[in-house]
Amino acid sequence: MKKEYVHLLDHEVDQAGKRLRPLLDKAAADASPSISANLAAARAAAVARVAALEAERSAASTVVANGSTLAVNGGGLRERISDWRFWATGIVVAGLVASYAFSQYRESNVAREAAEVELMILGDDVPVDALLDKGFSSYLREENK
Amino acid sequence: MSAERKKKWRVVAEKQQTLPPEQRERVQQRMENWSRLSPDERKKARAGYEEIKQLPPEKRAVAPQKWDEYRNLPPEKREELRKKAAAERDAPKK
Repeated sequence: MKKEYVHLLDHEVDQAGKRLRPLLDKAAADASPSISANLAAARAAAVARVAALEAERSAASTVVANGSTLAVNGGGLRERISDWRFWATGIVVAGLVASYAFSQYRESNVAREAAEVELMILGDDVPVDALLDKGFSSYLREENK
Repeated sequence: MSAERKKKWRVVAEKQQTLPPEQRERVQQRMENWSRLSPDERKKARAGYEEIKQLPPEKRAVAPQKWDEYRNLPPEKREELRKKAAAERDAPKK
């Protein structure tokens, strides 16, 4: 024989439950002491099982949370600090930064010194044409002899 | 213009504000011509400046007048002086 399933909507289930409740309440009230005891034990067992399931779920989520915390803040960092590659990378990066900073500093100094000399040349009372004319320096040397 | 030259001009622009007005005006007049010089010419000008700087103070003071005198020399004489300078430069150092 083939079973037939009837799918009820939520509100239909609610309505059916409401209609059944008085009948079940009456049946429970009229139940014998042994049935009442069995029901109470079954209820207690079900409650205990739900409590155990909740405790298990809560513990699992704590482990996951702690695990991720350790990975980020605890063990991960400690592992990185003790790893030579961490330090090697740090030294290489620091070296590159220092080298770049030094080259910038040196470039800036060279530019400053060159600018100072150029400024003196441009502001001098001897014109630039005279500085470029080698004959003039020879003339000055002759005059100094 | 290279980044280095930009930096240099920035410093020149900053520093020239501290010069006396006469010198500042001279710098501004010469800047354009200076920027047209090749790196080699600028190098020669720096070397010429270093040379003049090493003259005794009394000789250094009259250098501008000497330049005027030099410019009034006959062209052949100036050419002769240039050749002499080139020969001295190329002569092996003792």
